Amino acid sequence: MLNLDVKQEGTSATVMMEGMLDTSSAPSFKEALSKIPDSITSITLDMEKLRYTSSAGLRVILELQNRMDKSGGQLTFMHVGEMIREVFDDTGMTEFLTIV
Amino acid sequence: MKKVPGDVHIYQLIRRILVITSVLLFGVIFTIWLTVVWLSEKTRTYEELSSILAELERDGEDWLYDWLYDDASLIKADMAQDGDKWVNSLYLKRMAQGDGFTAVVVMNTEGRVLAASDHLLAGHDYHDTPFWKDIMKGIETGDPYVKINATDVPWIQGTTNDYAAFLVPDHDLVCVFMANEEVHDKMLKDCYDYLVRNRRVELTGYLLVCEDDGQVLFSYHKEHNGQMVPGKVFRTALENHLREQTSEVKLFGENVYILGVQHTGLTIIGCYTAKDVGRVRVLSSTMVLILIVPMLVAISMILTALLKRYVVNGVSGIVLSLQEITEGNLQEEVDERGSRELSLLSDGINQTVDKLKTMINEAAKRYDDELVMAKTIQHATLPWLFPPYPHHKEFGLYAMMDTAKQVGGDFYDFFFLRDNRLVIVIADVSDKGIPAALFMMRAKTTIKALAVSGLPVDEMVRRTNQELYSHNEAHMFVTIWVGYVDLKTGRISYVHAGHTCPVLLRDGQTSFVKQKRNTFVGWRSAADYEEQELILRPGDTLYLYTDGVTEAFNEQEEEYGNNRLENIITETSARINEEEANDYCKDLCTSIRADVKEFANNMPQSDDITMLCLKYTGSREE
Repeated sequence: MLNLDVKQEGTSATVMMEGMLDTSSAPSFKEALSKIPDSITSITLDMEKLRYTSSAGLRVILELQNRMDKSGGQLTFMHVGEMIREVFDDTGMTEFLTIV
Repeated sequence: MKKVPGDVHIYQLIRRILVITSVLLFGVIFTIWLTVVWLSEKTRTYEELSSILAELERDGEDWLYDWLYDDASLIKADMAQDGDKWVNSLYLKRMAQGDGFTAVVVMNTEGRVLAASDHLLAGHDYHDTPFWKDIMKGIETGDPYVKINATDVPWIQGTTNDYAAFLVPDHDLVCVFMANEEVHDKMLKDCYDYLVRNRRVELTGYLLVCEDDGQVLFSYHKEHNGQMVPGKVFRTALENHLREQTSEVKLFGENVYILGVQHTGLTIIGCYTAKDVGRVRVLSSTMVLILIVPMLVAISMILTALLKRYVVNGVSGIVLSLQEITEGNLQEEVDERGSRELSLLSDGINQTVDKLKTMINEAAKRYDDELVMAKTIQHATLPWLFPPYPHHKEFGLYAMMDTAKQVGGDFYDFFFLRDNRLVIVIADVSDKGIPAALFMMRAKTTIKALAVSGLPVDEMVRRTNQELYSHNEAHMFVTIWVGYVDLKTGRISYVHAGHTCPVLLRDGQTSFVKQKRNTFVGWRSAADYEEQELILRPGDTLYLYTDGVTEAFNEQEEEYGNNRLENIITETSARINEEEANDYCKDLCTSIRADVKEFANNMPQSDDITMLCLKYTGSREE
């Protein structure tokens, strides 16, 4: 189960994530991200309440990172918990993501 | 036929057509009616005039008849009382003069004149004359017997006479009263005078009674009296009578249709005004309008209602059903049976939908078949023969791939390099389905080609990354764990790129091989990959797997996890410790697979489960 709260302000958007990002919730996460218009140049993913992510979730995140890189936008990861941080480290993604 | 505009309802189109047709039809009927009316005007006018004139003639004669009859009845009553008085020519003469009769004749029942107003007639016998016979016969049927325009009066020849004859039974007398032409004419004149003044032709028309020279004696309009009817008009009126037609002339300041008859010295002319003719025209036109317009409106409404009932409603029903179908509800059936055509249409549509459903199912099945074929190909490209190197005693090897329902992206590979090092690879492509499988094939062949070409493992992975990064619009990536194994020394040079950590089983203890972790392959062109080292001792087992193992879920949404993996490995290894290396690897993999399945219970497999197991014995021969 994954709950999302998308707040848009000018050209930036913040996505509050709560729950688990796995094979079943990854598609709805992907859809919510696709609804964010191209006019938004800065996206922040707040992972404070995100308990878990699987490889399916990683894929959606990587796609988002690619999309922002391509359009010259900025993707920031906020309040990354220990478990998620471990996944990022294990998969060598930490190098390529902006984590605050 | 003109193209029908696509966004107008049938109903509206038909209504338009009906309105236009009605208007045209009305126009045609109206024109035809009017033409008929106008063409027959003259004939009707003639008939009207003709009948009025004939009526006038009859009325005139009736008038005369009645006068004679009444007078005769009076005198008959008188004679019945005092008949002998009458058998006296002098008396009769005085009476004739007084009452305006030209002759009064009294005869016996044998036809012999006893007395007459003209004394010369006395003594004559008319027994054998047709005149007498006629009277006798007449008296039998009606007494008094009146005859108008008699031509066989024996004592007066060459003229027409009117008479009344009656029988006086008590005195055996027959009496005849005669009115000659003069009286006749006078009577008629009086009659016509009266009649003409009280009779109109249609609304504004009139009758004229004139002398032979055209002078008007009597007319409905007093002002006509004494005026002259122009000779041409006079003649035309009489000609019309002969020709049985009427014609329009100008008379006394207005246009009239005229018809004239001559009757006992008088000419009667009937005049039907043009004004009245026009009036009749207007009346008929109005009548047509009043009759036809409601009729056409009623017909249109009936036709529209019929059309709606038998066509439009049926078609609308079909349209609704079709909308259901196009929205995806292929179970919807069209069922409009209002007419044969609608039934055929319904059946036709249903058959088409059924056929489509069949085709869709067949296509889906073909797609499934293709997926199965793709899966087969995928499996076939992986080395599947085990044990793969039975003659190599220094190690045992087993690998398996259990794909999830769809075509997967996991793969394993192993092959020898030219320098006799063994390469083992396990990989997991992001995504599933045919795109993932294609990417997997690309990755596998690239790795092998680059490795075989002699590149060190880190450079190989670096180049693989660059190769896969290009032409990667779908932004797929692959996790890889690849190692070059020196079978003489047990030394493995490996790259760990985003993949799950392998398990090292040594002396019954498990541990995760967790050193440097590089990132996925294929998503960052600038990614770097580092060569790392692991040294296997004889008896060690290295277990490679994909996250389909550790991320398998049960109904309680629990993950299989690392702990369970370590446990099952430890458990199994204790059991199978004495086995030959290849069998050992196979049994270990099978056991782990079974454990995962048991853990997941009824939950469907959501990810590919792939594993590769290498047991290093270190000895060349056993």
